[in-house]
Amino acid sequence: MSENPQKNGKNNGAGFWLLLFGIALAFYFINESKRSPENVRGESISQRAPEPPAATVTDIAPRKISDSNDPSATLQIPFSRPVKTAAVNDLLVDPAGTLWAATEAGIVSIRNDQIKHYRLADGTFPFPQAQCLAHDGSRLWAGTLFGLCVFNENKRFVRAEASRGLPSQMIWDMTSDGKTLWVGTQSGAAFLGKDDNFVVIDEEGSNGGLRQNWCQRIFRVENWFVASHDNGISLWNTSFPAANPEWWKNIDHARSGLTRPVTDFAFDGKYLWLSTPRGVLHLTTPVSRFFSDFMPNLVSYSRVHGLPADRINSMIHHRGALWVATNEGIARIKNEHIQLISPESGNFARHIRKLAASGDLLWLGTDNAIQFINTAMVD
Amino acid sequence: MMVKRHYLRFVAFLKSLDIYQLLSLPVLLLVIMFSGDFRTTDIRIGVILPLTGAGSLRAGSHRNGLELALKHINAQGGINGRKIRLETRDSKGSATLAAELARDLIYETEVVSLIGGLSPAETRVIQQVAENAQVPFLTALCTHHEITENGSIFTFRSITDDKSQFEALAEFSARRFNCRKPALIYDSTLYGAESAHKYMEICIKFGQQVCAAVSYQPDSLNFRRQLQVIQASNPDALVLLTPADIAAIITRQAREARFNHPILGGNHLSLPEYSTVSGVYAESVITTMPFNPRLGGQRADYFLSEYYDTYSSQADSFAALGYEALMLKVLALRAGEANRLAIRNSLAQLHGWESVAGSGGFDNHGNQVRPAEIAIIKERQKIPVNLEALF
Repeated sequence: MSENPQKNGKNNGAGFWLLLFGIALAFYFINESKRSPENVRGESISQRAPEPPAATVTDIAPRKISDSNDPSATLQIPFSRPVKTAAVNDLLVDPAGTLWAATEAGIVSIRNDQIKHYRLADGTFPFPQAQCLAHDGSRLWAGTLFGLCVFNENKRFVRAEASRGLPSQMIWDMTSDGKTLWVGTQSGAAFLGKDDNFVVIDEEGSNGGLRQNWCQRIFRVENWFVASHDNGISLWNTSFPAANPEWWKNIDHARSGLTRPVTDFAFDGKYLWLSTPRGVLHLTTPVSRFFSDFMPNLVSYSRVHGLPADRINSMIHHRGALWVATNEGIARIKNEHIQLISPESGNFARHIRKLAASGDLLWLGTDNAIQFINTAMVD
Repeated sequence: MMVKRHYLRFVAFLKSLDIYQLLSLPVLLLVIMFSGDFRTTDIRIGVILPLTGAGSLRAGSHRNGLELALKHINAQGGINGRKIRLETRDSKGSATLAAELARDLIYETEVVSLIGGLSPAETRVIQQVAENAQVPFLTALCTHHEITENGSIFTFRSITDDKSQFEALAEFSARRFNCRKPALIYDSTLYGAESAHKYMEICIKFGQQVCAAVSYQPDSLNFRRQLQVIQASNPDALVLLTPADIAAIITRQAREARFNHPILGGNHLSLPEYSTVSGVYAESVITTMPFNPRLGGQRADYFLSEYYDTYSSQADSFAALGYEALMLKVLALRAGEANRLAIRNSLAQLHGWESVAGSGGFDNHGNQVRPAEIAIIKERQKIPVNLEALF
């Protein structure tokens, strides 16, 4: 008789633990299913099934219904199947040929059809979003709105020690000239010195040479450092000290009619190009003559000249042409001739936020995917 | 009997559990609570305003308007049973701080939408962070034309912008005073120069040509030199593109220097500090007014009385625009799901609405289509020109 309560108690206990485990497991899976993004680690581009038509709430609806271009004016070529990601902020092809994408959900890498995600949720990326990428020849760097990260030998992104030396942890852009890492932040720009410490360039330190500290886009061309900010563009001849404003050139928004923000830069080997919300601007002074007779003359290409939209998000000079990404697709400017590019069939996201090139491939980072086209097919 | 039997069985079940099992019951409860993700019950909207420092009076009124709207919405049961919560942050007038606040609200507080911005620099930086993260952003205070002219997708503005104000001023001065040669005084900051450039561009459409455009350095109090330059060019109107307190000083000095032509200015001349500082010299000055209670009808009457009951002060235009801003977000939330893209898409489809500030709507750039309203200052009161005959 005395064994029965114990036995019953044990049975009850086992049932209780089973119930507890079952409930916890059920809630865990319910919760995980709410949170888990669509992306699957290690998926293959070529094996990925076609995406189902997206629901209304995952698409950006046009502000007006008539936002479409005449399809007859476009060159139709095949586009790769989109790899679904969060909104892409930057693309980079590293020296080994891996494509890296900085997205609103972390980092995505694509190499030989293998896709890998680096996210806060799985501990492979320390921040919720990634803004920009740069490779200085030996290390891959990721800039975020929370600080600077570096890709380490454990194949993870970790917060970089050097990040503390930046003027702000809000990093908007990065670039590298192959040796030195340059960073544009909310409170000034900086470059990484030989001792792995950042040297800061700001309005105060440059004695007004850099007209404003919010460096939204930065660019290196020959011996010039170019930064776009809220007042316009500042160009510094890096052969001379930044503290001397005489070695800086400036183009102001108000005086030059330059529309904010300057979203990207490109260099065609002779001239500097700027992308803005009002089209592409061509700076008519050759870079080689910036120092002697710099004139802020800008020639514009916009929708009225045949671009798919006025708002230019990104551009790149690749194989003798300027490739332009807009909210309405991509176009190519070659020998002052504009050609629109659209997919032969299927869908592609029209809001292209970033371009990168490697070999014949032109990578497109959109607001929800990564795709590529073969530029050899355009000619 | 049935209930008693079940009760006794339940008590027996509890008695059969050992101490560890009993202690684990609260843990089970916590697991269930956190798995349910109760944090998402409220719909969070981020607000970034310069609540201290320059512009804090306007921002404070705006916040009061937003909070009154919040009170009314939540009293009605919120949106589909979910309450709205405002996550309000003080940018202290710093664009850098505003950027960090926008970042934290988006990625850490996980707001579904943002409202705020007063100065163009502050508004632009919030806009950039919001556009980047694809979060709908509504400004109801910043009037700089470029905010909705830069190809943005997630940005909306519910206040009438500078361009509309300048068009209304140029059109009215041409029609009413046959003005053909206005002169401008603008502050030498970037915003002032851009505004002057825009005014010169717009007034040509109304047959006007700016005959003199003179800037001044910040902290100036004596504008005799600027006024001499202007009077030498013999203008038939003076347009002030300056902050309210500076505009008041210029108005006084211009009238004392016997400048008898009309003086005009945008929304800043409708601020109380303009009338207070310029005193009787503000008489007959032409301004635009961002909020005319008569256009809002009964909605405006209700808002004004509720505002007075809540804050024991009269609601100004900034409060009304704050009230309108949150009501627009509610319209968007009611039209779709409470996620960022759905809110953005619903706002983009809001081509017409009725609110405390009257009829309004967003154009294809997300900008307010409501035309700027012209008022004349009479005895320190702003009288809409269509009602001028009554006074």
